Amino acid sequence: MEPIREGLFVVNKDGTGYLVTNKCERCGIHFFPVRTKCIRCLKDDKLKTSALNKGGRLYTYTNVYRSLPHFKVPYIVGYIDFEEEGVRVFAPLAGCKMEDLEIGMEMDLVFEEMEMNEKSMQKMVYKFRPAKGKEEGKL
Amino acid sequence: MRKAYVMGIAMTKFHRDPKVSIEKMGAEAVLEAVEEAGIGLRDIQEVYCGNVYGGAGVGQKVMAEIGITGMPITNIENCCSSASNAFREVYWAVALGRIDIGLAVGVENLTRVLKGPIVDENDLEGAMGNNFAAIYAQRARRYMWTYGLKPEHLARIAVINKRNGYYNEKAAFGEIIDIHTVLNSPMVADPLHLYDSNTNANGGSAAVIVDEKTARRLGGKPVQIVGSSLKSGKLSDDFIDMTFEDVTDRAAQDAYNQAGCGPEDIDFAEVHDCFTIAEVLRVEGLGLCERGGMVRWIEEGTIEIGGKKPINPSGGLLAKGHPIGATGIAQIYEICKQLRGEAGRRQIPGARMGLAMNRGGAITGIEANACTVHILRL
Repeated sequence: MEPIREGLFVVNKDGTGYLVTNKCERCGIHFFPVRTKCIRCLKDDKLKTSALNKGGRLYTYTNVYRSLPHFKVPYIVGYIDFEEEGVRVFAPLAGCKMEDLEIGMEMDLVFEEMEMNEKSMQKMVYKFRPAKGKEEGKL
Repeated sequence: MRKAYVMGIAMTKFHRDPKVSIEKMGAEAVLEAVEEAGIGLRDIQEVYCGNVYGGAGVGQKVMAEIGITGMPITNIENCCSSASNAFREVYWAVALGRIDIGLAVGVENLTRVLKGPIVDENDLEGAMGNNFAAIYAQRARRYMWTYGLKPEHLARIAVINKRNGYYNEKAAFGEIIDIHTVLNSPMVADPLHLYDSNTNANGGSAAVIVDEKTARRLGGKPVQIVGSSLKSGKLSDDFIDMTFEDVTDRAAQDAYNQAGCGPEDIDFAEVHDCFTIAEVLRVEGLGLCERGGMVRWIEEGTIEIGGKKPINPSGGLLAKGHPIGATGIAQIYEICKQLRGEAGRRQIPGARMGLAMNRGGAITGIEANACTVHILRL
């Protein structure tokens, strides 16, 4: 299935995959989506591509009931923080109901299609789901 | 730097009729502002026009409708802060001495083009469903988790602004409600209900800005612009705190510095309440209230007309409606009405200095495309 944007992530045949990030090795800053210049030194000579294939912590979330007509509502979305990298990623949340969610909980990265009312508009995206067996990971 | 004054300012009644053209709405506001200023149409030396969805040449279309073009006309798209951005450009053109009399216009017919929540689908997060209701709902949830704000607090803001708007004949959606109306209205993005959200609307707004000499010659009731700032959101190399507004803070500090005042000198403010939570974030971002302090301010009635720091006496976007290209000057319209003592039943007694804060857009990675802060006094 077609990804929502080229170059954002790589998915393997078994459904695993990673987000494509880059890092300025001079300034130590990570970027997702990748940048063509570091936002601190404004140079590109130390940018190195890397893969982000782990979970993060839920910063905040919502259940959206009203959206443009081709979005299938309601849908749950949120921001996930990757603490080590200093990167925050917005994404749809999968495999959960609102009552399962709590700010600070650990979330796993998954790749699924984004459900839309029009099949032709459905694209592959990255999503996050509550981490399995990591209840002690809550803040 | 020269002093600059709002000499005439006007807005149409906001509405949802898609058949009223942007030319007609823009012309109505311009003619009223020009008449109030006491200038002739041929005195206008330069025009800036804010609009988002009207396509090319909106400023030219408005001026052609009135029957006069030839002066420089510049169109500005800066999402929901387009009109205040146009106002800023005219202010600086006068303050820096390029012109003596300038016109700022804002106009939008939103109900003709948009049937749902505003979202930029060309933007990555927008394409993944992060519309503005979703963004503010997520900020609300984090703020509630951090400071103990409850949906009832947010509902109270809707009640206050809708009531203020009930006394504003230009507002499309003023009404007298209680918090149950808000809390029982359909959910838009949890925890925000329909009544926590602004409504797409249509309308026009315009302001004539002049230098000091012209203001003296014209007489009338000039309102001085003492601070005018525009900022964009910063790309961040670390996590940003979504319960605080860096861009609002920077624009406000810049405007306070220009005005030689601080937040404590501001008697009242019009802030960009696209959602109830947005009013909370804005009042704190402007430094009017300490961080987290809005919970008590809502409970104690501080933000109501009659309170210590009235916010959105016009009814705000929540009660007026939000024609995005016109909203910024409509906010400044209320500041001028209040300062001149012409606000009728929603008049704030003794209002001497007012602040208008307008912002718009949020591409992936930055907090807002634009944020303006204007400070005005008699």
